[in-house]
Amino acid sequence: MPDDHVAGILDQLNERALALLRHIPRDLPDEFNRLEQRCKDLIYGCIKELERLSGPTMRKPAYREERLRALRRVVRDLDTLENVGIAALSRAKHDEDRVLNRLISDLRREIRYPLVAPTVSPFSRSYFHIYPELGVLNVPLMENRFLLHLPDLLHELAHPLLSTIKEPQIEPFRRALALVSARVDAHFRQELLRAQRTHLPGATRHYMELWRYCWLRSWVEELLCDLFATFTTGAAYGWAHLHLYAKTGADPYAVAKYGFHEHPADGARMSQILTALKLIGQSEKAERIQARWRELCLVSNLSPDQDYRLCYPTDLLEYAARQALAAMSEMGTRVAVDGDDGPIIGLLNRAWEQFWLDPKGFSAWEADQVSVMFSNGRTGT
Amino acid sequence: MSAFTFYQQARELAVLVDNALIELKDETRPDLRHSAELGQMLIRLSGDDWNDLYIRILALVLRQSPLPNGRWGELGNALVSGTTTTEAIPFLEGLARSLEREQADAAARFGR
Repeated sequence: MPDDHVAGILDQLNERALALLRHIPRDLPDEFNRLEQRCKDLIYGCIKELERLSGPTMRKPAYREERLRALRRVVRDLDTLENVGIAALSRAKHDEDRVLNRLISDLRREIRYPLVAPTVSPFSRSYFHIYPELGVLNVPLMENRFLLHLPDLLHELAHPLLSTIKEPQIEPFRRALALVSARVDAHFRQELLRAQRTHLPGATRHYMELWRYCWLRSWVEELLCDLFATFTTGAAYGWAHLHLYAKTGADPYAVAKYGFHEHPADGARMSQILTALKLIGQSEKAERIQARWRELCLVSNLSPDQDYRLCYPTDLLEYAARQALAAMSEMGTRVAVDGDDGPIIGLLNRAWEQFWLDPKGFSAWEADQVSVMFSNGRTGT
Repeated sequence: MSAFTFYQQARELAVLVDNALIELKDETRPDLRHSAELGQMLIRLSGDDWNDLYIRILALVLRQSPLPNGRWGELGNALVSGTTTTEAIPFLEGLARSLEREQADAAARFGR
């Protein structure tokens, strides 16, 4: 790549970084201070890196590939800052955004969440999504008007518990991740050896390699986040998963065969949630959710096959559930107690009870509850 | 792990690998601290340390590497002791390119 082209790109990137700094609004509400500082620190870091890449050492021909890779890293960093961090700050004074941030802050206290709450931003392009290292949780624009999917906030809150480094309070949950991962790794290594001995088809062995990769790269964490959400919210999380699957799901027992899947199959996630509910004494509610789940799967005549059972062994799912519960107890996080939940978790569960009592009339009830919940500047009181 | 976390950790590893490459390509080799740090990680690869996010990602990225894990451990030892030869550079360049691909893939997933 010619040096004048790189020099031009570096100059443009520097202008973009400065423009982002200028775009940060002044007098932001207090709950956005941490994000503001984080964004500024990251932009300063980008500017410093651009200086390094413009310097004589990095212009040497021997380093041109390293320089190009570093340049692309700055591009990605600035893109993320612009689309996530600065986007959240640009709406910080919007009342509806402040409401969701108060909700997260109150929820954090209610469940005794051990980390600082992320900043909520309504710029999601794909449902709920957290950026742990930026401390931003993206939700859909209209989410502050509805209750039934708010239990999914708890799933997102669990991600930073597994990616934050050097925080002793969350060590039990990180340890659970390591223990479950080791068990997964051992399981698939053993299964692969068995497949070789018994001359199973090459395709099956390829699938097992892929499943092991998916489990270790993503699924262990996703399942632990489901468990955190189930243990903190109880049945409301199970209902929310059922509802989301009903609206957006496909075959809940389909297994990955051709490439990496970010999330485990919906059937495995539901199975994990039901196991978790039984572990905290909510068996009767688990059975009600399971009955609805079966009914839903029957519509398309979907059921688990042999590949599904190989990919998601029941004992692995149960092991993960026990490890997660033990870790949460050690962290001191509040576990849902049927009938004795805090104000927000209680409301999320009542919302589901109300929905099943009167699905068609639920919206009016929900609108009243949302209005009360967000009145007087506090939630859950 | 979430796509964004995977991306961030792969990014930090990529910075380390590029810094190590810059050190190793500098014939005067005045400072090899990044190479040594990378070497320590490669040695730990063989220990199945699922508690360390960087080791976890390194193991996942290297799963299709032409070098078996044991050889990465040997390379790690050479990096730590400062006895690496220029023959190591193509392997580290391969690792750097793999990390670049993983970052691009993860970034597409979290929809930046």
